[in-house]
Amino acid sequence: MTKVNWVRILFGGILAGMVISAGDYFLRNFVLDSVWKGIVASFKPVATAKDPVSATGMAVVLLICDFLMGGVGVWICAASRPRFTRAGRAIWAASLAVWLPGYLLSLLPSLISGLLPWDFVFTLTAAGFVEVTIGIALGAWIYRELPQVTAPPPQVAIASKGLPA
Amino acid sequence: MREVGIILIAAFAIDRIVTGIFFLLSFSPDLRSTLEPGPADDPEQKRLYRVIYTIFAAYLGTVVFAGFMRHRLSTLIGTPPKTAWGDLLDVLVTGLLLAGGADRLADALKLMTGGEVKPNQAPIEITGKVVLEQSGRADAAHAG
Repeated sequence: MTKVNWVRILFGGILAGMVISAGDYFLRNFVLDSVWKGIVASFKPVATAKDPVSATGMAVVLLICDFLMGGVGVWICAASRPRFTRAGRAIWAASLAVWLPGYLLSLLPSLISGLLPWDFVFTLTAAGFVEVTIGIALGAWIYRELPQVTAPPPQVAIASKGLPA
Repeated sequence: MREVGIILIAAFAIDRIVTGIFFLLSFSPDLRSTLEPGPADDPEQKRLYRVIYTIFAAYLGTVVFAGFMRHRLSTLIGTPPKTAWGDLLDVLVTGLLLAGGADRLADALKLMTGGEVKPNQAPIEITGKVVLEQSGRADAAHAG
């Protein structure tokens, strides 16, 4: 059993977070731009009571969430790698473990209650799975486990027989 | 001239940020050979470093500078794009320009500070023919 390499997890997590946040940026600003602006405008009267969330603040929060998802995904991938026969299966499992609560389960209640349109939720969750998988695959490519340092065997005291005490 | 200055400063900032992150991460002995490859290191390590540097610089240039901070080429020139596709192209081209500029600036900084930018690190190889003559036997033959 080898040791978990936390520095590589941090480094891989940064790379994965960059991929996820880049995907999110292009998705929200170009693919879903008009839908996103419409949703924000529909919630604006509630949000402008004291205007707690600015555009910059929202971008920073999304960036932090994306980098957290990347780091957790690479961590799960590294931890579950010895359990799978192939590295690809560990990447799929880690992507699913991050995507399921991060995208699908968080957007599903809003979809069912009619707060968000289904095409927006579908595009976001589908593209989210692609960007999470690519990001975690990139992080897993960087990840290497630390070799285990084996301690020398303990000195065994041999009891001698027949010798005078 | 002002536009070129802004692009140069942004590219310099990207190079410094990426170098700073790599410097902090290279405190780990495991990552040192990847993030600080020396002249004697494997070419494969240097290629990996190049790939990682480009990913970091492209992300900072495209998403952070051109995307969130809206420092875009068309805005600097004074002709903002009319369509969404033009906007996307603008972000990508600005990011490409900044990432490429950061890479070139890093090499230029190494040259100015006397760092090691030695493109050809291969050992000197001399080809030819060497003829060895044994003088003692030749003298004896001449004497006989």
